[in-house]
Amino acid sequence: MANEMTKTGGDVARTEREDTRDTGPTFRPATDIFEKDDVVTVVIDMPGVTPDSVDVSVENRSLTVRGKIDAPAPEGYRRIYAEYAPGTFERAFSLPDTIDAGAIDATHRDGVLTLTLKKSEAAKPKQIKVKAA
Amino acid sequence: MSYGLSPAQWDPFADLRQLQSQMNRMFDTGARSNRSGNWPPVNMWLGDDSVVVTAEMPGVAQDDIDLTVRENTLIIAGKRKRATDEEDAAWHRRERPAGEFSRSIRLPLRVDPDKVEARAKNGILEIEMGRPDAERPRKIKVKAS
Repeated sequence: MANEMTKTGGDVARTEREDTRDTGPTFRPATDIFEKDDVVTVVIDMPGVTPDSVDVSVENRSLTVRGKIDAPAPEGYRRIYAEYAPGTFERAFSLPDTIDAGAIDATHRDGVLTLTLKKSEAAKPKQIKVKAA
Repeated sequence: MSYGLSPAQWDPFADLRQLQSQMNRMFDTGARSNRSGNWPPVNMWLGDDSVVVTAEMPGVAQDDIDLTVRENTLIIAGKRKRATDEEDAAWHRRERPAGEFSRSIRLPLRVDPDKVEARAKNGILEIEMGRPDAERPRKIKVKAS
């Protein structure tokens, strides 16, 4: 489920960079997806992103998450070594029909975005009683 | 994984799942090589009498981070928990590193262990370390003779 969409732009590995004029480079955040019972959980690493700047949207069964990194340089310091850079995290997933797109819950804590997706009622297994004629 | 199909029914993904769990075990072993240390990614910043190391550590609780400072070496160690401990959860994607980590970072100057301050915000840990007083560069005035 929640297959990743193939996109030419914006879907760049964290280690590679793609410069765009207004937002800086875009990174593809590391993601865990697991399923238990009727709940699918998507856990996305977004270090340096404040909770209110996270954007989660669903359109045409495509789930997109975005977050701009807001990690200012320590005041009075100059950077002498870097392994990560400021920019924007972005990733898109396609939702299967079995997911209720209207019931997605999102929380952001310590730089980790957690999405809770529920299976739609129609997708749940149903027991059909056989009546005696 | 099998929507609408109960496990008692035919499960075409059984083999796949087994393969996946084997793969996961493989990657788990790989994660342990974090001990040799390239996680977390860090940036380094230099000030007048101090140095700052910032590290991307999303989801690591502050209590799970161990910092050691000696001379000109900083060691960031700890444990990063899995997103779930549920045994029967079905994994579709597992990219976030987890497990024990330890990373040793060489600093451009010797620091005083009493002058270390660490704070975490939105998954970024910031460690500020000051130079020992005795080693601060001193300005020497040149007197006219």
